[in-house]
Amino acid sequence: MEPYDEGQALLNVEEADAEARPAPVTEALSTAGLAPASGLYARPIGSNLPIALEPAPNGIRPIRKEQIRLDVDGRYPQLAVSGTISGYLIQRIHWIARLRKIGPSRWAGAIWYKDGATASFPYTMVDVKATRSQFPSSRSVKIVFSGGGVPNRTVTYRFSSSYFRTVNFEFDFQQGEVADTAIDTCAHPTRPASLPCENLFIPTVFRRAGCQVSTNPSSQIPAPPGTTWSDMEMHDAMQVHWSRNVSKAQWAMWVFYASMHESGAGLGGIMFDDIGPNHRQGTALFVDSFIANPPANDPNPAAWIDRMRFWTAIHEMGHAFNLAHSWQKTLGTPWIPTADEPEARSPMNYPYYVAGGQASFFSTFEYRFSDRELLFLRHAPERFVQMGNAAWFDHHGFEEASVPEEPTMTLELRVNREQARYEFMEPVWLELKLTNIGDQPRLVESDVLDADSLTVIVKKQGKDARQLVPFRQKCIAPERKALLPGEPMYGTVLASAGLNGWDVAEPGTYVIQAAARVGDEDVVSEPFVLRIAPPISRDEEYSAGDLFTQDTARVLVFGGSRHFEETNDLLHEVVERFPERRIALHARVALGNPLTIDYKEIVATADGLDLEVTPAKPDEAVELIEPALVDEADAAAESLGHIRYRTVATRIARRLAAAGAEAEAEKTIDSVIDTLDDRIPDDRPVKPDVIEELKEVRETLVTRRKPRTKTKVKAKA
Amino acid sequence: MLINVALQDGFEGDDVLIRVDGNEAYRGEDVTTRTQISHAADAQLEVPDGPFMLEVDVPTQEARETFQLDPRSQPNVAISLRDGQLVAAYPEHLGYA
Repeated sequence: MEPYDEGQALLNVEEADAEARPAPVTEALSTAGLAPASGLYARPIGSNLPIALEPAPNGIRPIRKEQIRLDVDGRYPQLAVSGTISGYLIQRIHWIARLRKIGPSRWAGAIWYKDGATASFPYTMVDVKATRSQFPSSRSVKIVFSGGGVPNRTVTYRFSSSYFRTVNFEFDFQQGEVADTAIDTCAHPTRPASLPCENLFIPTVFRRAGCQVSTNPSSQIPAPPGTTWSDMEMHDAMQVHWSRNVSKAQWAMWVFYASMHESGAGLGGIMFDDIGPNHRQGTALFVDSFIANPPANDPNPAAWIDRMRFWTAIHEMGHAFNLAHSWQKTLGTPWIPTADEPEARSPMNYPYYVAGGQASFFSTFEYRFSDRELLFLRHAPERFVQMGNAAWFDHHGFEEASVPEEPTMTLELRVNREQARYEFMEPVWLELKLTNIGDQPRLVESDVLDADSLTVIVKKQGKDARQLVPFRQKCIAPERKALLPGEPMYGTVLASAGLNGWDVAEPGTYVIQAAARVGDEDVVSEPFVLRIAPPISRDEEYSAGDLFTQDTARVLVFGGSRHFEETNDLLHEVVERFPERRIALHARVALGNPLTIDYKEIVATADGLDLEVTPAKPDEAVELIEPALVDEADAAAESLGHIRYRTVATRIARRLAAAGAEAEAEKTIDSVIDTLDDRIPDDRPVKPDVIEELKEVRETLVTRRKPRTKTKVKAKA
Repeated sequence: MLINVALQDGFEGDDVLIRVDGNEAYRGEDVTTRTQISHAADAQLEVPDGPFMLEVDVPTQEARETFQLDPRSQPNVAISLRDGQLVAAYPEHLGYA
């Protein structure tokens, strides 16, 4: 979600502003008299090949859908072109380029904004050629993408619509009020001299902004005149009366003409819908508020009121498109670095806030959004603009997955416990099982089940879905292995936390879904539901704040660290204060594991960097680890999961043996063998070959120990 | 006479103290901006008929600023916090949308 420049540096405010500003079209290059070129163009054409084989950026093949928005003529041209490329699963690229005219129906410019899977889209320049026609079906646009050190990509798009977005409005009204959506632009004498006189409708304002607008029939909301409204009451009314009310993002909004807000006449209107998971779907204007009070001596009070009502409506509707107030553009998290426009004659400004007040505002107000606002409405990524759109990937996570009708692979998420219930603060390790259920061997990447190869989506009930961002992003040469018919392969993933924080931590119900990419096929798991129990004490609740940090998660994922001293202190505290809780098992392993080896650290010295080696401390390690992996072996196997328990315990046993603690190593591996041999969660006993493998490990440890014992005996003799 | 004071952008759970010529005239707790209407709180304050000093103190953001006002020409004062600085505007009218 970063503005892009070729030097890989972010644009500053001035630069982004300059890029966002449309360049003037010189008369010599004007297109007067020609059929318009602007509009929405879609889907590559020009061959009979299926879309999957059309030209595609690396990493986003096959393309599922591709659209571009060319914005070079018609109403308020922004001299911009933007595109959206949708691959399967969650891959999506959004780009915007600013254009300058270089010939008849031809423009070129730099791509200055990229969003999404941008690594797959290295291009930096576009060359755009439009084929105009009075017949829409004959219109097309050819774009040559270049730069970025890759071969050019040429794609031809077919005309789809003169509009960039499609949106539906419904204007409902309180009993006794009128949903008046039109204005006579010349009714009030204070207006731009050049303003065309017309009966202007609210949908027309948004059509001129680039939206194809449809409307629903209005309906009356039975509330007596004079009723005042709270935000929650309006939200409830929206759910009952709005014919398009659904709990999902959609290009639709509800506009409510009400009498008055409960806060009083000082509130002329509000985009009240910051309630629930789908914001910006509902707006209201209060026709009996201050917008019905013209200044004294106004030359046409009735027209003033009509105009303020009209302005309030399009102002609140602008908020539903996620437009901020004109003086607020730099606040919050703007989509690009931008500048405030306190003097803009935009629906998003307050008329009485500009220099000279409302008379000055309306003398130059043309019922249009500012250029920067138009750039946003027409070209920003859909999720920023669309009403009700929550965080990226919410609700529709895997709807775009490329799942074949007759899948040959399955992916299962599972845990090694009877019920997927976790204690508060207990890290959630999930196991993955990928199985070839076809009748032919399949080649799969050997790391297909590694966290950074998977797509894992976590959704807490009532909250936005989030994509797990694993700590480790490896860069390795791909290796493939054949998965025979019926053969499974396994992996583990920590679902609790990643680079974007602790996704599974607070008490509640979570749904987790994963997808693995095998060839061109997305293998998607069934949703896996788990529950995090509430804290059992105030003490736990307080400790959680310290525990749920990125450093702690990192230490747990990587099996401990001697570097993160503060985190280690915290984990020691956890062991002491919550010895009976599952988190103590994980803390013990993370604390003990680094003590099993000669630990290397790069440290800064006066002469530069130096490698410092801290000797293994097997006795201390055993003291920490044994209560978890041996004394509480069953709980450890359940909490870590069989695969991770086996992996961790085996590694620790080998390291302990290498450090001279052979007896403890044997004890650890014996515990793993006995525990896994006994456990049968969900009627799934551990496979015999796993137990055999563990016994072989034990043999190597024992074999290693015997000669040492003899040596010791000899030495004594 | 009375002036209208509005606390607008940039407030987030803040304590706000307003003094008129050194005397406390308004105290607000947990003042928070609702960004879609650029409004956090408002008050009518009794002020002298002529020029006076309006001191705004937001200890929770370590921001303090003093503005010299003439209520005859500046009957409406909009105070915002921007980048840690208190700024004032004097709009023709105070209303929200």
